[in-house]
Amino acid sequence: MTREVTFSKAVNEAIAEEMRRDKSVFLMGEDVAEAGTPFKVLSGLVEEFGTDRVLDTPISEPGFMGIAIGAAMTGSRPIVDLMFGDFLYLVMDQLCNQAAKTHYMSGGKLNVPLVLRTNLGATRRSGAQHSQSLHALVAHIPGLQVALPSSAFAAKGLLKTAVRNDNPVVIFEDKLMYQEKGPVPEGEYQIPFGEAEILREGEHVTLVGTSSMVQVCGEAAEILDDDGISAEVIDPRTIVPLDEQTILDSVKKTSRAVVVDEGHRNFGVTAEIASRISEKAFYYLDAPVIRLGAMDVPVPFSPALEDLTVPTPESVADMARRICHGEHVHGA
Amino acid sequence: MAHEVLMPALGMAQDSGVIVAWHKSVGDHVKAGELLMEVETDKAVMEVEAQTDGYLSEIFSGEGEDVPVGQAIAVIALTQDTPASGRPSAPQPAPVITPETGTAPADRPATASPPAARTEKPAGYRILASPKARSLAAERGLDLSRLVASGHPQPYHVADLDLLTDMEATTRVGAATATRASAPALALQNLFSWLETEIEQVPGAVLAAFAAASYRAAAEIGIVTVLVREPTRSTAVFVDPDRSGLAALVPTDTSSAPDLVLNDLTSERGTEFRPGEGSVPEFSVAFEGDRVVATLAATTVSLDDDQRFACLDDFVGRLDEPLRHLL
Repeated sequence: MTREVTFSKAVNEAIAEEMRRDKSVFLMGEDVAEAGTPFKVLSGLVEEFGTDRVLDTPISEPGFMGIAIGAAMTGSRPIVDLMFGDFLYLVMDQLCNQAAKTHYMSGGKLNVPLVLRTNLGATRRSGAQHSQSLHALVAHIPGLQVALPSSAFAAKGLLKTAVRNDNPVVIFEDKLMYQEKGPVPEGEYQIPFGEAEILREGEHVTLVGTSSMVQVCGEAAEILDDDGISAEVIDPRTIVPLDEQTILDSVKKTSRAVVVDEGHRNFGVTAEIASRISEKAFYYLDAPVIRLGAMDVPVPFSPALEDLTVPTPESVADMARRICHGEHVHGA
Repeated sequence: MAHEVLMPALGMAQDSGVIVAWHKSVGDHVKAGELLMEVETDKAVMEVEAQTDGYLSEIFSGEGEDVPVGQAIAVIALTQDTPASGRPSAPQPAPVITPETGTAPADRPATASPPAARTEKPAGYRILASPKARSLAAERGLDLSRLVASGHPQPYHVADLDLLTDMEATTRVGAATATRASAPALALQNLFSWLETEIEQVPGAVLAAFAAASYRAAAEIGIVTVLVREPTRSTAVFVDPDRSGLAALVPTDTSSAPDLVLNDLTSERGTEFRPGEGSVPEFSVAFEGDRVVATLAATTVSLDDDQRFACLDDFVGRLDEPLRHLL
């Protein structure tokens, strides 16, 4: 049985189900118990599990991140709520120097089975310090796994997999998607890491989109349909590990790729995926691999300007159209 | 930074010009004022000079193409590795060059121009093509430089290979390569006048005899059948014309396939040469000012490069001193 639930509800269900299943799973972060987070994602959990397993913390991200890592090293499975993805900078030492390296530096004697839930996405009029998409920062660090759900279904399935994963996992949820409804099965399910989803099959161009950009790629594919261009849309779902094979197989079929991600374009996730395509499917390419990401500027507060900084279905379709028509897109 | 070479307006009422010959190839260094190409208008064949120093990085329009005035026909880049500009731009107001600046054909060097393969690829030049187009072309044995020579705009993608496949299909036995050379025309013109008034022999018959002799020497074959085409006459076939007396040179009725084709364009005002599309070697002869120009188009199957150069060299030698070879 499948019903329609919001992205927010799907996350809430995943946490509740995992906390019921495993007593070592607990939740901590700012405003998670009393307020249920600013996005109301966690509403109702403290009522069911009590303040011993749903912990409100002081406003000290490095502090509670350190506590969570210690708990994870000693047998608990914490889910940490980081209110905004932008606050990652505050927990970088705990996350990248401690959580990511403990298993390796202890010679495999210690695990850090921790989930850090946070978010990404602009166009919510939150200003430059609350609108960033920083998943590329943590994807760069060996030892961390990174999941990017793009629907209610993926949010629940990936979060449940993350809780049962013995590595530190960072999940980025799209802030704008919390109230969007999507089909979610009634029963138990998980989505394995490192398995991309082909949302739409096509022949002429592969659109690889992550997180918020999956929908954008889907809408771009609709636009391209009207031009007689058939686009294949792929959602990697996790960028660490990355399902390279599905992407390469698709590009070998279509000979063209546009990679779209909401992080800044420079040195970003799109660069990594595009360069793997160029390296491993080079002789199949009939056009340069195109990257589209957020403009390389701080996210503007002005709504009119903010909307210009992120890829849109129109901008994705435009680039796809140009490479399909054999235009000389970049300098040789 | 790249400089586009536009089709100049060489006359007051000129809409377009036919490119008669390129004197530079893609990749060549050019200096401002250096001869770049020859353009035929409705009045005359004019020489066009480069307007700037640089490297000829792209040629959009090949020999024989009729190009509107103001349209880009080539690009001169400042450096050898400057990326190509892509497609020719739309026609722009063209600089008017007065007829006085065009140099008369008589000023050209007196020696026969060195034979040069038309599709030769200069060193250091790279064709812009997608990796897939490149690997498919290699797999199918297609030569991307033919697309460059045809003026098809770069970069090339898989879709452009269809055009290339069609081009290869028209020539059937690989690509025909044309070689061109010239000699002073006076002796030949005198001979033609004499033939016409004294023995009423057509120029084509004598040219067929010369072509047969040159080809026989280069290709070492026994019987040479020559098909002569002349714009104002019906085609004629001569068997071993080089072994008949001048007066006895008469066309033969034969259905056998010719070994050679000779295009006699000496009565034509224009001098447009196109490489033959048939599988047999094709000579063309025309007058340009006070010189006689000959081209030989042949596939490598019928004549290899050395044979083609030798054959044309011999042929032009005969055109230079026709009486010596007739006697």
